[in-house]
Amino acid sequence: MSPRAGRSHPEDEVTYTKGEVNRAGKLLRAIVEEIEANKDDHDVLVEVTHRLVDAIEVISWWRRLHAHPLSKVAVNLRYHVSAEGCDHVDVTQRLKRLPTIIDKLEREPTMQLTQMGDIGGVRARVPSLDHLRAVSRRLQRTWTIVRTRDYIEEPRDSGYRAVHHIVRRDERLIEVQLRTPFQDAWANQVEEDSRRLDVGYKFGQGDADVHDYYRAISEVFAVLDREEDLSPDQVAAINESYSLAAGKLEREPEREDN
Amino acid sequence: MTSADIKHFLIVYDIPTGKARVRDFGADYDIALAAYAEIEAEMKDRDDLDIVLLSADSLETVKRTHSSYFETRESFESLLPPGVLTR
Repeated sequence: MSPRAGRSHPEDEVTYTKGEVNRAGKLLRAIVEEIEANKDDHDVLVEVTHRLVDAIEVISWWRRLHAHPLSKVAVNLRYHVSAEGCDHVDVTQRLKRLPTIIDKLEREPTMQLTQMGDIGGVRARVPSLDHLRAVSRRLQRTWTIVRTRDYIEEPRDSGYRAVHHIVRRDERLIEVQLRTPFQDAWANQVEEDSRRLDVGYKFGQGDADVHDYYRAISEVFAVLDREEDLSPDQVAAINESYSLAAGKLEREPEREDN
Repeated sequence: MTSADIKHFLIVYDIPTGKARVRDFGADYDIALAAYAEIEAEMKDRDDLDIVLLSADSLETVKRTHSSYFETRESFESLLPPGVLTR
């Protein structure tokens, strides 16, 4: 730990054990179910909400412990990205949103909160597939990597492509995402659709036609990333899936302009 | 570049209107983190908001890597080579 300069760090004021952190994660799952089951019972809801606030406090504290390790990883990643000759160093770090942490605990019932690998995350958008591979190899040479997921070799069912490394820094797990501009545009569009339409497309939920379109687009982007030509079959797949999905995506919603 | 060169931006994204409000905390991560936890707790019942703390060398970088929150987002269709999508 580096010496502290004057300001107290909020995470040092209280401490919890890993056991307490994991228990808070479990508790939270139970609380979410309890809220669903007691929607109409005001007294129960008030009591449950108190417990919810306590659990969230522990989780928020645990998340906060990732902030500085995350910054260190991000600083290193910027260095490696620029050392591989990427002209823009597009590197952004984020601490996972609490609602997203809670959703993930719900989706993956066996997950221990202290084992969640992406509470601190850093994303690099690099200019090409060659840059991505070069940066990735560099990280593998120089970092302690706990787990690698190559979603370019094996895309997710949704069509998601990227390379993820989970690294350990100062006893915390931090996720590094490497994406080409095509992969990043794909992921951001699916993210935006999921949020705007309130459907979990990014988790494989929702309409099958929409997923076919996402996968077809992802295939085409992968071809473009490899600087190959599109086959007539791929062009046909895009057009066919687009015609089935376009109406369901409400791609250009009317928005207020103020 | 060190972590002191990194700026912290608290994004409050309004889902129905698709607009992001951005609070710039400069290089002060501790203050930004406290504000993140505070506004998140305050707004915990607001399903119409997405609140997230993003940090990079500039807001422009954040807009590129997290374009889903910004008008910089490129739709799939706009990235296809001309003539591919015949509609």
